[in-house]
Amino acid sequence: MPELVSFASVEKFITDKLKNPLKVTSARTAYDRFTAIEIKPGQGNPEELFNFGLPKWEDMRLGVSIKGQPQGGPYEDPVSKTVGGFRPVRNELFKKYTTRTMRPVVNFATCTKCTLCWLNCPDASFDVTPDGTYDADLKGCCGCGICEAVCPVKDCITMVNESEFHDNDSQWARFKQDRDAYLQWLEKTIEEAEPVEKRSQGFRYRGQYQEQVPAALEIANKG
Amino acid sequence: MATLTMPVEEKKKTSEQEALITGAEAIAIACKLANVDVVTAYPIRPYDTVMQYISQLVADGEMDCEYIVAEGEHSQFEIVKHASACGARVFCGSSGVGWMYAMEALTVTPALRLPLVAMVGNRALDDPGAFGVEHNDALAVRDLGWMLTWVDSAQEALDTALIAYRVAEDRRMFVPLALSCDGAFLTHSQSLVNIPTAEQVKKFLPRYDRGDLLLHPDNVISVAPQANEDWVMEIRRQNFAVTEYACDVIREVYADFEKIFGRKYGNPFFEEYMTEDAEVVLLGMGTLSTPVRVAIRKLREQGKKVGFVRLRWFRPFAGPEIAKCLERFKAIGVIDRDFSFGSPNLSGVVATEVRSAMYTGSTARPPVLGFICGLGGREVTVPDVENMTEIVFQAAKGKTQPWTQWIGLRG
Repeated sequence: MPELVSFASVEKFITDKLKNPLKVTSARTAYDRFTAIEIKPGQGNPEELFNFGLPKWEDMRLGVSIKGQPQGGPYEDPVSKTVGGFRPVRNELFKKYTTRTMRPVVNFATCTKCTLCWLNCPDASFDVTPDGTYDADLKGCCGCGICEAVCPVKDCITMVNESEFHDNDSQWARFKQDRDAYLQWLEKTIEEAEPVEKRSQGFRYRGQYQEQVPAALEIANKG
Repeated sequence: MATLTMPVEEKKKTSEQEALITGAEAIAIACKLANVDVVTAYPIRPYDTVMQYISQLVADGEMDCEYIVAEGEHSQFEIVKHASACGARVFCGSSGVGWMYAMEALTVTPALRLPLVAMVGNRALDDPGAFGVEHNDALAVRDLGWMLTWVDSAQEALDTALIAYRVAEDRRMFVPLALSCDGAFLTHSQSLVNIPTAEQVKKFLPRYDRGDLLLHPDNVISVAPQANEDWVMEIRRQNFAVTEYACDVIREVYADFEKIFGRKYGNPFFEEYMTEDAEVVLLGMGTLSTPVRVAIRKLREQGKKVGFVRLRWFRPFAGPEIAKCLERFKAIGVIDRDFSFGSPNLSGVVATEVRSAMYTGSTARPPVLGFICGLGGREVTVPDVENMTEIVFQAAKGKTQPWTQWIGLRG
């Protein structure tokens, strides 16, 4: 197995530089925990992640032109069938939900339609519902937590653990189909969610960045 | 002058008026008749007379178009390029190094399939900045997908400008066309021109319809994104496809032109003068045809059997037709009003292309001699033509001649 640096030299470095035998033991424990597996060419994950078809010259548009992306538009209320709001067309290849650790759950009953979540979402992952409220599109949402941080209404948007969920269906559609059931489920979910203050990742409140930068700089300077 | 095969009385029936106008004015009138939507201008001699004539037509209310004086040829050609992408019929033009200044716009126009009709008032390239005719400016775009044509009379300039719009805007084509008029000799000299009526032009020129390539908010497309090596060859191949049938489209359009306007040009690609029983021929483009024809008539009186082939369309180059025409002669002298330093045999552009066409289009191998003549507006004189003809006759007799000679040069 190819080794860039031998473990012996790592041990020597720790002993010489840091003079701490506990750290040497700790390094050796971590090293022993790993199993090296050799992967040969042709082995590994057989899934083809992307396949971009390259067309023949006869099938290409003329004049170095490509059809624009559709822009999206209003969509249907699943119950009343009225059409309204705006759902942008999103890139099918944009699969940020696969790395999400938390997702926003929304209380459509208390939403004041202030538009702040929609405005501040860095991935434009909010749809404007036909009611005028805002629904997170869970295929594009990366779970950063900005929407929760900017929402002015208490418990209107709450970031909850992603591992409880197994689909990316629209929460607003569920709300419209059975309002009471949804609100009950929401209350329970919020109760069980990890409180914002205890959370170690994502955005939690306005001013968080400004607070954290000086602290981070101090740590970097001190070493 | 182009040989008109119609009798005088019939001319009066088909045209509204006869006027004594320059080549540039003829093109300006063609733009008016073609109902051009956007004209951009930037002054450089000798093309800019057409700019002035058009502005006069606009000022007099005879022509309704957007007339934009750009801040340079680069902008000038960029503006019409984009106007064309938005569905406007456009006209533009330049000369010499002005045309070179627009080169970035010129290279992208054919790739984007934009049917721009441009007049090149052929002018010697700087340096030195002579105002006289030299063909190198227009020839610089010969590989890029532009159509190139040379005319030698104001009548032909007007007719070819109308033909140009029809050919360029044909949905199968959608490539730009540079109509070359020799600087000063054609742009600034007057001759009688039959000006067709607006009704005739309306019958001949359909509306410019860009279809699904139109740049418009309702047709959501991106035009000219950057592409990498996965796409370039296919994009180029699309332009190549046009060149495969361009000659057929041109033949179609000339046939239609004859039907509607009554003026017969015959073979669109080149004109033959006294070639029926010729032993040798000269070949050239543009207004050098005038001294050549005068010289040929003189030589004929002396019993010398010489003819002249005037090439109209340089791009697309009708190689097989040229080869079939030239193969029966004993020797050919190509007069290049251009230079191509370092080329095979050090010949001019047209000579090299003719030789290439002969090589693949015929098994006959008559010597194709190259003559470089008339650069920078220097006259191609009748004695020059007689001199060239004599050299070609020598080659026809089997006496080896240099592949390239400079005619009319001091020294």
